[in-house]
Amino acid sequence: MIKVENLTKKFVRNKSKKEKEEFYADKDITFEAKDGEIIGILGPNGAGKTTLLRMIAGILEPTEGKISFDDMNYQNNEIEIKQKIAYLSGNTKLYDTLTTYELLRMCCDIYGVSKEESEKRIKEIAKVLVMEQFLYNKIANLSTGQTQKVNIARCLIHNPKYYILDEATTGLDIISSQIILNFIKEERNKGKTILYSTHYMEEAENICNKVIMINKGEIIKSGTPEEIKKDTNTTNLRDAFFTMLGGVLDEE
Amino acid sequence: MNKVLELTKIFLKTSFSSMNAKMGVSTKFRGKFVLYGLLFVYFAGLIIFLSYNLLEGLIAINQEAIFIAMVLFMIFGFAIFQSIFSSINILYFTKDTEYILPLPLKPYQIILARTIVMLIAEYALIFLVGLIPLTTYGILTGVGIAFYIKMILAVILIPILPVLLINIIVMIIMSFAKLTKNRNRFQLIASLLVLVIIIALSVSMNGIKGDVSNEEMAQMIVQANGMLEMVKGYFPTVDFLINALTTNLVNVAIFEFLKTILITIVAFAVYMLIAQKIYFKGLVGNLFGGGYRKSNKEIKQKEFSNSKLYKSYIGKEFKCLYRNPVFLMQCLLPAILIPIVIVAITYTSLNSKETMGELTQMLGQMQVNTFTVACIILGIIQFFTMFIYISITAISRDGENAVFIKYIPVSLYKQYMYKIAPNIIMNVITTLISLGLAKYILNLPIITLILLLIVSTIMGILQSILMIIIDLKRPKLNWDSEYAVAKQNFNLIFPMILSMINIIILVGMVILLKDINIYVGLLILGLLFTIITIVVNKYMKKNQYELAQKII
Repeated sequence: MIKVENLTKKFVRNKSKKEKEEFYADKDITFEAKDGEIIGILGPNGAGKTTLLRMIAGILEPTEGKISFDDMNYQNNEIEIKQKIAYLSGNTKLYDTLTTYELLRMCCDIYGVSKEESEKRIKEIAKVLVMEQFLYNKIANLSTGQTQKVNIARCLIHNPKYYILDEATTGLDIISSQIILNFIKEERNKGKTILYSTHYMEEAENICNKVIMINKGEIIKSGTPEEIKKDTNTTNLRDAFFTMLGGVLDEE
Repeated sequence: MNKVLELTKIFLKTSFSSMNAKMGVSTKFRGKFVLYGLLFVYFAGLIIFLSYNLLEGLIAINQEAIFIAMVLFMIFGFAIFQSIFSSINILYFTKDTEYILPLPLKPYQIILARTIVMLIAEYALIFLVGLIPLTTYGILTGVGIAFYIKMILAVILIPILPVLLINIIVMIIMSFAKLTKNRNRFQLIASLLVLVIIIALSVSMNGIKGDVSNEEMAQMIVQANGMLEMVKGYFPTVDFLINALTTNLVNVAIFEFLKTILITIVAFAVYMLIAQKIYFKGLVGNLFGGGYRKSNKEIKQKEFSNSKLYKSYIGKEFKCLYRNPVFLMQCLLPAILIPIVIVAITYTSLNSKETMGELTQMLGQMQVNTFTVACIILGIIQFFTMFIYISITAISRDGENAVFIKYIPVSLYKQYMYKIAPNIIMNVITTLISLGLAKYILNLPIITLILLLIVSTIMGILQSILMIIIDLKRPKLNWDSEYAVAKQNFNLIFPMILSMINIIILVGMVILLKDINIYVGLLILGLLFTIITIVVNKYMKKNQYELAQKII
């Protein structure tokens, strides 16, 4: 289980050439993601989704609040937590001078996967994600879809317990997206905990057990897709989302 | 024209983004200004010293005009060398190409902006190697104000033709040769070619002895002038500018300048015409990969067969370094290249029987196994190793991927150590080459060489740790071209500063412990640098998380 309590991140930005101001990227965020759940984090650009996921992944230190993974926290169990999480952000070409195989082998070494086991896992993952064709090609030469598959493979290689996926299907075609969504569902069925941020509402509706809608760093709505649709009197999450955003704008 | 200027500004900003708005605090700016100023003064002083000595000899035989020809040809040569690399990178391998192409810009605007950026990059160095010796000439020969105006004009005009020429050659190659669409291979070949040229030049200069008098040097230059006379015909603009600078007649100078400007304008027009026809052909081909994948051979599994974390991590660091030509040329190769060039020069110089005899006689008369000589050797090694940019770019090289180090289950401190390991290894290689040379010339005892290796390695570890701390504190993670990290990066000044500080410490030690036994002296030095290294290492370990704050 991932438990997030009153998580807040404050940044300083330039207001003008001389003046600076503080602003909240995330404010007082609280939620729980139980084992075997996919929690969708939804929100427009700049809502604070990436900052939230980066704090949960241990990349950014929160200004306030707590994050715990079962009975572990970053203060006492940083390496143990990192050993169990998989973090994926957007469409990055990680170490693009390496080949896919080299990158995966390096990740196996980092996560302490034995040589024999890593060979087996690389083969398995390459098959599931249909990566055999470019396993020995340099990452720099791969297409967007292929690169994203490599990133996902990198996340899966150490059989993590918690997934923190930031727009994992961005830039992928329908077939590649479906492969990844199926895989996420399978991981959920194995009891893994998954935090999943996306722009695609239909995707969230299809795979998420719960959804958290964020705007301007604050949770504006949370619940199961069905609950949200019911509460907003809409038939799909897209409309529910616009209804919620409209509400916030009206209040301003 | 406005669009060209805007585009040029954008290209320049992305190239030199280390001086971005984030660092716009006045004290930091002042600090940078002082540092650059100090370096400028250092190199300018060196150039003035060399020019002064050379000119003294030439003035003695009334041949000072040769100096102008030499400087102008030198600028021309510099421009060619620099263009070979900057041309391929600025024209073809910047990551912004795919964003620039869809913009509503005319082809000539993009080409013009890129060319202006290249010329500005050229001028930064050329002003140093061109204006300073020519000003020294002006002062020593007591010429009037007209000379200085002519000098500035000449230095501005000279690099234009070589830049255009190299650009056209690169564009033609990129349009027709499939090989060059493979960026890595092309840059590697270009790098090796330059390496061969540098070594060949070093070897061919073996006739120049280190202890020649100014008059002897002048005689040699007069002989070299014969060669310049032969070459002049092939570079008409240089010839015209030499005439313009050496004449006392205003109308002759104006006429020579007009000829140069006319040729430059015509060349520019021809360049723009050809470039518009062929530049985008090569560029689009390059963007879409063209034959790139075919050349990408499979890498066998056995290459990555160990499962130890440190080997794996350090192996990854080396692969990322040597598979990227810019990082290979700027960060890795200098460690080998610089001492090899020095070895080549020394070897060929010493191979002449006369020199060897003189040297043997000289060394026979003096005692070489002293603390002073040991410190001089360490100082020379410091000079060589300041060009190893592995540690100072360890974080920045990863760019946006640097965040990887924060979410993997390996302590940050450990990762910092893995990242600096290649720097330490290359430092040892440079030291070994240098000590090999020291052994050859001075015939130092093995025990001295071993002690020197140990002290130099400790200094190398210290340098590596300090440099990664600087890179962590001032990382450059958003870049479009690797050059932004490995060349146009303000942080690269720090290895130089540290080496200078180390050299000052060595000089101080020589003054303080002048007559001390060499082994005791080296032991004290080793101890001093070990203590500093331990303190710095502790600081890095204790602040490993704070240091990584800028990586997000």
